[in-house]
Amino acid sequence: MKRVAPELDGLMWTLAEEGNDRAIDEFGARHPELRSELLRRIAMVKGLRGEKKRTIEAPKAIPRFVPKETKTTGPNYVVGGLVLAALCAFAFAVTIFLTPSPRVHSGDVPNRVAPVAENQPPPRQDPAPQTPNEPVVNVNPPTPAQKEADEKLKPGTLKVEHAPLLTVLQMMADVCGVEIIPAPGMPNPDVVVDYRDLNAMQMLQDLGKQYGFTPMDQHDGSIIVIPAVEAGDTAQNEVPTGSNSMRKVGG
Amino acid sequence: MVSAVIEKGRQGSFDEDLVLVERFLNGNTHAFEELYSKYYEKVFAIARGVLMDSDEASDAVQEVFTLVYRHLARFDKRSRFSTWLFRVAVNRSIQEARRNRYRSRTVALTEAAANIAPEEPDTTDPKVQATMAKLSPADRALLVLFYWEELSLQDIADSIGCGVNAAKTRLYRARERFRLIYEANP
Repeated sequence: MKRVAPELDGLMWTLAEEGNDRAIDEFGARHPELRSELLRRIAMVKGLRGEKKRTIEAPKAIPRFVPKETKTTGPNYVVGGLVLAALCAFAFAVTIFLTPSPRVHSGDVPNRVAPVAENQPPPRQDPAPQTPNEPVVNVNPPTPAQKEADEKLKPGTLKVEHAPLLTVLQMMADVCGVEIIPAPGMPNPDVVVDYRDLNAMQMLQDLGKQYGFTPMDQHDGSIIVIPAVEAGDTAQNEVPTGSNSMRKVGG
Repeated sequence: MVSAVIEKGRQGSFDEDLVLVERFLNGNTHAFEELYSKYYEKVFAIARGVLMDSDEASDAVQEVFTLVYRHLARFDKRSRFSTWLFRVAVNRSIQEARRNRYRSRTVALTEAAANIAPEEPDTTDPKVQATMAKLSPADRALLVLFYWEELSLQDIADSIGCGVNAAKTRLYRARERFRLIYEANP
């Protein structure tokens, strides 16, 4: 069929649906080239409407209404659930398979010795939350609460061979009953420590000289460790060489 | 003018279907039977037009009325009951037709021939059924609502759950698809 302008197309459908003979004749007179198309559409519409009479039988007795049983869709849900569970298990297995396991080199494994806690202080009570971004310099005289916190710096014993510095700090915190907060950028070399009857600050000051960091006692039961040292404060000669070498930051 | 307004108000305030719905919701099951009898043929026509099979249409009608029977309380009464019912019928029929899409359907020619009303042979066209069979269930539903049930565009829009303009566009497209297939048939 040749493409018909949309307005004429709509008009032809309207004429075909309304079946007004006079309007159809007028349209045919005005657009003789579309007359055959219009007649086809009239036949189409008549056919569509007649289809109802043709296919639907004359109403006999309407069947009595009996509510049907609801179709059980349970099995579909069960199957769906099983498929979903299988997919989840598959995804989990793939994730586990593809995730690289931590590489363990025999030479890198720290030969740790479990720390022995002696005279472990009582657990601290609700230390004030600290973030590394808070000021690390405390110039005010210690308050009674701070004094109380200072008293918590009880001596302890810690012996660790070849463990990452941050791990050692955590062990130290556990042994001495303080909170040690490493600032961002702290180096993490393997270290060897053997401290007896020292409190956390003393241990940290000694470690800091070796590995280039400075502990700042916050007098609230927490110590912030910053990866910087004052000039001349670092015992450069004591820095272990080789794999345990310090990465000096700042200062 | 005044009488027209009164008449309009009278029509707007009284809806026999709503009364039946209320009666049914209050426990009168006979009211539902009245609704069923009143709309059985229309719902059957919709189902028959979409499914193109009388037996399947009969089953679908029972399912439609079962759904309505169980969920009539959800009818919010903002539209007419018939519109809501047709919407259920259209959705259910389309759903059933999609489920049966790949099922081989053999329409007995004898049955179809027997259904032809002998007094109106000029209104039948064998090409129409063949064309309808090639359309999607959704297109068939639109053509059935418009040409068989002669619903207005607003009612069609309500029955298929869209706006009037969308219904008009969908109907136009369905009709064009019908025409293309119809004219392509020898």
